[in-house]
Amino acid sequence: MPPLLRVSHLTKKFGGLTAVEDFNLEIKPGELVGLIGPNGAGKTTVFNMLTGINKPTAGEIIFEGKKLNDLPPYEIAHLGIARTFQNIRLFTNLTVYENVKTACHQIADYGILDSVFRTAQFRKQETAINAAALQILKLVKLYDRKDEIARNLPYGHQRRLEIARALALRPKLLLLDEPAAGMNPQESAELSEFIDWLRKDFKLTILLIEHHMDVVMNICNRVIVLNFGKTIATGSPAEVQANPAVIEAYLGDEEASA
Amino acid sequence: MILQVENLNVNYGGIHALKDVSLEVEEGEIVTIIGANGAGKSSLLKTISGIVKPSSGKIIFMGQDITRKNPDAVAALGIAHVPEGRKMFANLTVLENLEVGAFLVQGQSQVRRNLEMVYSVFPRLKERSNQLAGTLSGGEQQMLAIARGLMMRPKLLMMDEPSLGLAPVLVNAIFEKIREINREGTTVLLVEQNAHKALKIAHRAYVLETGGILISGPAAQLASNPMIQKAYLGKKVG
Repeated sequence: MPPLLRVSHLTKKFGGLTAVEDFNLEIKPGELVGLIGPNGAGKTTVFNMLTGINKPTAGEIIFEGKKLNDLPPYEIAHLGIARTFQNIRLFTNLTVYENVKTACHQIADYGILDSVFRTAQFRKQETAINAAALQILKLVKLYDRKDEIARNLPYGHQRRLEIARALALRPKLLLLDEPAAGMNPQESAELSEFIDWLRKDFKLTILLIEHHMDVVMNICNRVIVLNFGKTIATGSPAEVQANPAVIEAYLGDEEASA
Repeated sequence: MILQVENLNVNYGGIHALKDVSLEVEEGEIVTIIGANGAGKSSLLKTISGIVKPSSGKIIFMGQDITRKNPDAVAALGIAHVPEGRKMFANLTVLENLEVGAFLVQGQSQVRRNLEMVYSVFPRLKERSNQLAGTLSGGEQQMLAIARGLMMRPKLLMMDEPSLGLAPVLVNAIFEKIREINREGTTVLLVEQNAHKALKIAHRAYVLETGGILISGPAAQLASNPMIQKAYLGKKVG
């Protein structure tokens, strides 16, 4: 099977700082790959390059045979790559339901005149959007809170809303940036199951940045470890967890033995 | 007793966020509040610091009723609140952020002394004092958020999820710092999702569930409670 995503020799420099250096990655359809590393290692910068927010200084990003390097973020989203943000980015004054609806625009292809005159086309698609948004809210277990203002949600629920918005784009590749941040062990275990279920039932391909090692260990097929922008290890979760360089840079003694 | 919360009730719109919550913090303690998302942990800290007003109940700090005081007045009495998700001024330097934390401190020489104290706890921040806060790594940002709280030399330091978004090695480092700050005489009220780590450094703990206190006691005792192990500690304990 050809890879869904192929990244080769990807490098990003900000002025004198090399944030990511010679990063390589191939993901096959249906894989769940973890990206871990200390704070400041360059993980989010990789996501920013994959989604067109930062332009790579060197290297190549190929998604379904198409080069993404110079595409703007909205075109990349349209091709099927969706992401969540480490620092949650919601419309804080809109309701939970409205936040998901705004991300459902992929479904809509009516024009401004359709919306002004409320044509049949417009009404039909709006109905489809409403149904899709509600269905996604049920999936992420936020249906009961759909009419709450997003900023009033507890932090962990805001993270789930981020995932809901990414799913609304109907992506092929989902990039999750610390989805379990702010969740307790029970909640992150539930989230792990949910992500694994998404991968299987929706045939999603997922690249996951996460500090909760229990999440990474339970659901990732492979793990890549970054430190100071460089890849210091790749392998199965068990392999990287036993790797001395990873223990020193990332886990510390206690976590490795836990 | 440095802090006493009695039968606190908080409502947001139709949501009863805190239900008859009572807790006590003794001087010199680390007390932790654990619980699921939506349990009301952040609401409790916000109510103590005056950001959210309770519908009933009482908050007594060092013998003084602070229940309806505004946040600046609460801070002036010696309560610092380190918010969830750091909330620094990204476009100010590290030093400027720290100076903001000392806005209630009288006299430049006292501010300088506090700054030296904070730098001795977090030497990394001294190295980065002229860097914009937004360009710090996640771990450094969390150190800055705690350091900003320390700049007013609080009697009570309240922290909302200091381990959020930190790599495992840094989580250990941050908890070690909290212990160090406590040893030097600051009382700590700690809200944490990482219950495993929080119970290790805390003296006592309260478990909050859907707005009410479910159970409380010495941290070591709660850590070995089977119900807590299952709900809040995952399978890591043992």
